[in-house]
Amino acid sequence: MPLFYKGIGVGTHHHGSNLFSMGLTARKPGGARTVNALTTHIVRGTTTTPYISLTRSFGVAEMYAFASRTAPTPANPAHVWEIEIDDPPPSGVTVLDPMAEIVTSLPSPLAQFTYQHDGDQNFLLGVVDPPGLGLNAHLHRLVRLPPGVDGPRTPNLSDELQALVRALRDSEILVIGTIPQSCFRHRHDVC
Amino acid sequence: MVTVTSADLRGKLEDVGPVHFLRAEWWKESPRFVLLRFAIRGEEQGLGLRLDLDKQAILDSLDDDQLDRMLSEHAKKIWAVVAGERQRAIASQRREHSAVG
Repeated sequence: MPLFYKGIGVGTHHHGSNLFSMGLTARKPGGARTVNALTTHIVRGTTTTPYISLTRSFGVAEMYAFASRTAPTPANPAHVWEIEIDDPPPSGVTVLDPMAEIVTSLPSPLAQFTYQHDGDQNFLLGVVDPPGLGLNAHLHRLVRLPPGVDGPRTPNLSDELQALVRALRDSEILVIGTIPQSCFRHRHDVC
Repeated sequence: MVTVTSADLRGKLEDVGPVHFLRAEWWKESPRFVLLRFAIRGEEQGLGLRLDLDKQAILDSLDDDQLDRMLSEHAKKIWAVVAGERQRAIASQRREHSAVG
């Protein structure tokens, strides 16, 4: 069965919950389930949505667990939960690959407005922006424009492109519904 | 155990409603995030607000829709100040390390 991970920081919504006995429900299970809402969930980090973010990577989950509302300590650690979800998933649970959801909603390549950027070849490094490397500056490098075109300006950065890049970076999978307690295999303490 | 580094925010950020920012804290294990420590009516709150430096967004809710909206509207301004303070603190730490080395 595929394994997923969920990082939960100290003081965050589910930190005090025993997921072995309660399972896990999104903060706003009745919220809008649209590609737009899904994209916003990933791009803005909005937590009050019907989506639960999981990752295929223990390392990514651990980084999210360390993102706590107070520093994790041995007495009050953050947690990485190990979750197994069957195929097909339990009743009432929908598992989404955000990449697939966003890609199928992208406009035609002939559409006036596109998700694609018009910056240089390093522009995506700025979108990924590994912490501490200062690559964010690539986002603000002016677009090269042909002679006679009005400028200067910074490259186009669509929400769709940001969501695609960040979902890939975080090996992100989204779940709708309640992940039942039987799916929770292990809780790793992180501090 | 994590080692907390901090930067003083007093006088550097405007209050958002009753939220008075005190300092930014971070630890190397979660480099994409900064914890904003704040007080309400003069009392420091036990839990801070996580600022995602990449998404330039505050991830936590204060369970008050209007205040959450105000924080969200101020997130980019807060990010600009906090990211600058953090950069300065990191650069200063590096200088101290190289002087010691």
